Amino acid sequence: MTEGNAGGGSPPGIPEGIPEAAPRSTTAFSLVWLIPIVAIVIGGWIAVRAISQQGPTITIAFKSAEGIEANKTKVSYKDLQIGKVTSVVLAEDLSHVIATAALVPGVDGYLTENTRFWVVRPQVSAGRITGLGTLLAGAHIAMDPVAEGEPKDHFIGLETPPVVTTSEEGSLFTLSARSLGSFDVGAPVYYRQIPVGEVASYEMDPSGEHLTIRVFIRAPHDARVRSNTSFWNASGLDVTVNADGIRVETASVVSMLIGGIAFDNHDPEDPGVPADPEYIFTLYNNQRESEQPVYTIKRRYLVHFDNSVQGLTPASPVVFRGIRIGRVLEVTLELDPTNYEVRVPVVIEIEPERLHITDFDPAGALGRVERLVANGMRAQLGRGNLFTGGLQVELDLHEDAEPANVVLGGRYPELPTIPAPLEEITASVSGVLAKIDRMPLEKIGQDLQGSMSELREMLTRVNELTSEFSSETLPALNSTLSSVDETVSSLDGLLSEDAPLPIELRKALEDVGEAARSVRVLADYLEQHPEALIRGK
Amino acid sequence: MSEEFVACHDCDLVHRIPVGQEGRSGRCIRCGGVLFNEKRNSVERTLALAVAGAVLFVVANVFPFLSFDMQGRVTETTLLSGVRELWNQDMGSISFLVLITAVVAPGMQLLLLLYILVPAHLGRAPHQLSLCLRLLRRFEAWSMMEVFLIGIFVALVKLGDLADIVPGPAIFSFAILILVLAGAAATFDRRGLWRLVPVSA
Repeated sequence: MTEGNAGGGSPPGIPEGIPEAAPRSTTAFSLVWLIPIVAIVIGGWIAVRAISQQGPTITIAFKSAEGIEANKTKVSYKDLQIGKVTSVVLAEDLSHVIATAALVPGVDGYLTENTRFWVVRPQVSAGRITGLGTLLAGAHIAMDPVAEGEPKDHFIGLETPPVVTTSEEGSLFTLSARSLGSFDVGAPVYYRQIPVGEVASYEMDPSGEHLTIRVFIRAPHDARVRSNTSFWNASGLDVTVNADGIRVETASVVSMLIGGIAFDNHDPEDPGVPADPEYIFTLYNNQRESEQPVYTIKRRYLVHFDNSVQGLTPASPVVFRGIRIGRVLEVTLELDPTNYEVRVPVVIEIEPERLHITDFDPAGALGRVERLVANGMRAQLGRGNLFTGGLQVELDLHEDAEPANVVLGGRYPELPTIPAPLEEITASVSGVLAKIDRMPLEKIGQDLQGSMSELREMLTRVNELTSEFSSETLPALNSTLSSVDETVSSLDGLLSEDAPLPIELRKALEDVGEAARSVRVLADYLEQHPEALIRGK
Repeated sequence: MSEEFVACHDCDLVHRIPVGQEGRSGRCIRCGGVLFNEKRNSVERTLALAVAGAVLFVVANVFPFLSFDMQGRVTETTLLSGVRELWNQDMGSISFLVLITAVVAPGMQLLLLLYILVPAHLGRAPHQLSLCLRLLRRFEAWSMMEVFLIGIFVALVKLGDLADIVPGPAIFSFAILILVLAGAAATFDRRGLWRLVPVSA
């Protein structure tokens, strides 16, 4: 076996002639390890990308898990998915549910204490229908990202979608109102009947005195809110009936139904300055109220009345020479236990700005009032409204009044009063009224009615008689008259100067006169001597 | 130096294998059938492909396979969650079949390849080589990832109108894994491995 093993020779024991396989050349790739390397690189890249795509994980507490499903419910912003709910569990105390959501990377910076989350469900309210898409796709969690604030990863979900999201351009303004009226969050805000915003929220002042209402005005209309802008409640209908007729005011049908707020600048001459976002506007009850000038300075005084103030109520006017300068704030009853005198302290509020002072007065407000009182300014009750019997407090200068002073030291400075000049008149008027009241007007009326019908009956009969008279009596009368005429003419003959009848008649009359005279004599005698009737002369 | 012989698979003609011809293929001189295909670096190549396959297998199982976006309702599935979903929908047998053919069999295939090839690469014979090779044949028979993938593609085409379907990284890994496993099977040289085992054993 000298030949190489690659060649022909066979080992011993193996038969000759078994051919050797033909060699087949192959090309070797030592680069084969590139395959796993590429696989590892790609796998690693996918893994790294997947891990880097893991955004922040947050938890959101909701009152209920309605519509929230793990691995199905999306978290979205502007209807773009930015995350997914990965689990929904009950809180330990069972008071709420906690949804854990995995968000996409990049939103980290927007998860702050001001960021809000809420569940978007189909919602139908008087003003609008929202979230219809969620009917098919299921509820999703919406986010209102706010970059400013402390970062956090646990949130309390809102139960109702916020009206205003931070991405909307516009401004929030604060209004102060005594009551909410008929509107709710989401109610429209109008500027000249154009909806330009919405009521964002309302809350009670800590004092409970006022409601603070936040309204959102969309850009560019928010620039129309100036320092002198007035807001008023445009809810419902405002119907006013007065001497000018009937006035109906409403902003729109929607606001009639769900309420609303309107605003405007009433003084076209004064554009004002852009409103300070911190400024608190007053929400007036209606447009008319908002159009009245605003007097911010109000001073309170006390006046005491000794007699009945029936008809004087809070908000009754306080007038000075017929011009309204304030209103009554409260009317109470006060008993002085030392002498059991009952008085009526009335607190009035005066808006001194309504009084134009022609020159600078260094005396100050109270000093001015003191001077005015020294000049005879007195408060008295006056009849404000003749129809309703409402009273008002009238201030005027009475130069002949007894000297009095402003009494200081109480809650409010007390102004002196004088009795109302109208009181006596009022008393007599009421006496007359009572007498009128006592008249049996009804009975008179009834009697009058009876008489009237009788009168009517009578008149009918007169009418009948008249017609009868004209148809029958008149011709008869006519013939009578002609016969009378005849008679008279024949009488004329009888009664002529020289006719025998008148002479005899005159004679007969003289006799009758004689007889009468003797009867009178007899009567006189009988009067003096009545016994003569029995005894004779 | 012992000589080796091989009988042709097709015509049973016995051939002597030339010694020192590692890295070559041999064919039958009578019928032309491939007698052996001893690639150079067979162990190394197969091992490389098995490692790549293992990486792809992990990716295919961990990352999302597909995501369906149906009217804004997004559902993401992985291979295993699909199996679980089938199980939940009372399709236990299909679920089991998918689990075996698409997950367990390829996984075992890769595991066994690694178990065999890592020692082989270091020049040692793995324990229970014969058992491992038998098991490997079994699992190769049950590994039907391509069937599964075709099923997926059919579903994609059919559902494409109803929903937006976004393929995930896993489905690409899965497809490449099929190729890699096929490559590994092609380069895997059973005959060569036996050389590591002494005949006396």
